[in-house]
Amino acid sequence: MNWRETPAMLSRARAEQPVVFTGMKGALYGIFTPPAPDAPPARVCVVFPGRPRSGLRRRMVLAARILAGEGFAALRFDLRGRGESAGEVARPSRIEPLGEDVVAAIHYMREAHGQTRFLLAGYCYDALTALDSFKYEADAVAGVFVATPTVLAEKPGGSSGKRRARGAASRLRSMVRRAREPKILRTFESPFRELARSRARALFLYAEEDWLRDEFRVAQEVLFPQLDGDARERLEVEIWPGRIHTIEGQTVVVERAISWIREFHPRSGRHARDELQPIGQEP
Amino acid sequence: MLSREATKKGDWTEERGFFESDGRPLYGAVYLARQPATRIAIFCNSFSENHCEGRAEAIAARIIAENGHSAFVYHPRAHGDSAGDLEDLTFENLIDDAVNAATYARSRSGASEIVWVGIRFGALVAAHAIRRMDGSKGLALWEPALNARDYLLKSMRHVIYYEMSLGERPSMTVEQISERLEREGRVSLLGFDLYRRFFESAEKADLLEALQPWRGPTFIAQFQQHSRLSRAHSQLRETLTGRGVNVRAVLHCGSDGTDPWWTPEEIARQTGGWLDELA
Repeated sequence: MNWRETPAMLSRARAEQPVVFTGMKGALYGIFTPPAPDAPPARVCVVFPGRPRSGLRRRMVLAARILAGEGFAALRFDLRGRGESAGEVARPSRIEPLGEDVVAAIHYMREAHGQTRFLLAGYCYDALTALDSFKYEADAVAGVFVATPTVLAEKPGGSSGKRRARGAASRLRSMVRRAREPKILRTFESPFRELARSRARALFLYAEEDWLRDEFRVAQEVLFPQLDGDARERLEVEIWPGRIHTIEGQTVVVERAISWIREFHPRSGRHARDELQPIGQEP
Repeated sequence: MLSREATKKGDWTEERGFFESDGRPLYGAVYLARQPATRIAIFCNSFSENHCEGRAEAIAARIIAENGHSAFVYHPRAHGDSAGDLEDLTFENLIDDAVNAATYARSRSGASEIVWVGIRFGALVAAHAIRRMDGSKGLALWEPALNARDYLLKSMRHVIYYEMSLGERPSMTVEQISERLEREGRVSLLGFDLYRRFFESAEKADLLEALQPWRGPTFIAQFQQHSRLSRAHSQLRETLTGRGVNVRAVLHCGSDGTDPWWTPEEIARQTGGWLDELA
């Protein structure tokens, strides 16, 4: 994909509006990119939660402008404790995703900008955060792009750095622990079930050589078989070769997010097919 | 300002929006003290990815505004929320953006005096911009890059460290990365692409050389977990002092072993205190 700035992207950059809205822990800062007035309207607002909002290589900035040029509204914002947003900076915690911040963004965009349908996109911890918002706003979300978040309550075997530092006895204890049934995160399972009950589509993206692939395998074995036919149709999974949970991997992930989000545009073939297919009916 | 959003925060006001530089919109946030301030701190950020430094700038600007000075944080072209492509960027462009940012910030704030805050690579930008702006009153250097070539080569070295941290053999040496940059015009570093065009435009930039004419008060903050000023920063201080510059150097080690960039509050207060003392 060519990420060079086009005249359409520059035009969207000129239209951008800085926004501030209230989150649970103070003000959250973002940039709203209005849809291009001359593009066929997508009638949906894409929300990118970020740490910070620009993303690596500014891919979220560029993605917002590309999609806005095609008729989508877009909001990228700093999650609490990052970028300009209020709050203490903290290490991302798999047991504490920040779905409330995404909910605050949805409320703000609904009230201040009249947006009613939302698409969420996140990578790694931000994906878990996007998913987390389903607990509160499932009805407002048309789709969620979920790239390589954690799934299990505990990282299998601990981190590699910790592994190196542990002694033999500790490693043995860890092996015993590993032999236990892996436990799916409440913060993954609960919003996943809300997602399954909703009408939203989702794309779960992982890569074969990432350690998070092992975690997601558990979700595929435990959660996905419980889905009904409708949910199976809506919740897609892509497993790519190689790795995406790397600094370099984010570019191809954002490219895929853009192409997936485009399917929600009324002019896309996929959207037309979905419109003809009543929810809950097997194809 | 193409689009603006203002928020009042106790004793100061924050105004975020876009301003024009060389025909493209750049993102900026001006922090205005309650009383009109004669002095404004302009933050020149580092090159390309600077996530923790970016947050440090926002926090520091707010603390400086609380203390009665105005401050301005902006994203140069091809950075953050601004427009522009890294592929087209030159070092001279960054200086142009700094000058345009300072001109804009001064007009918004009514401040007559500028204090530059150069962060890492931004120290080189500030040191060049200072020569083009009348009313430059002071210069704060936060963990300054001493020359662009070394800074960019160090960015290449970070790729090697990163690969090793993943348990992999480094795929290339710094020399090989440099050769690829020369041959292909672009190399992928950690979180950003480095283009030959930028490298060649910047590689001769040197902090002490750029500051040859500078005699204003200067503040050096070292962001490292060391209890002493590094040799490079000591040399910078001594050279500037030898030229008759009034230099204050401080250590910012972070608290409890955390990365000092994530806890900028204390150094922001010290920078604000130094601003107070400027005649």
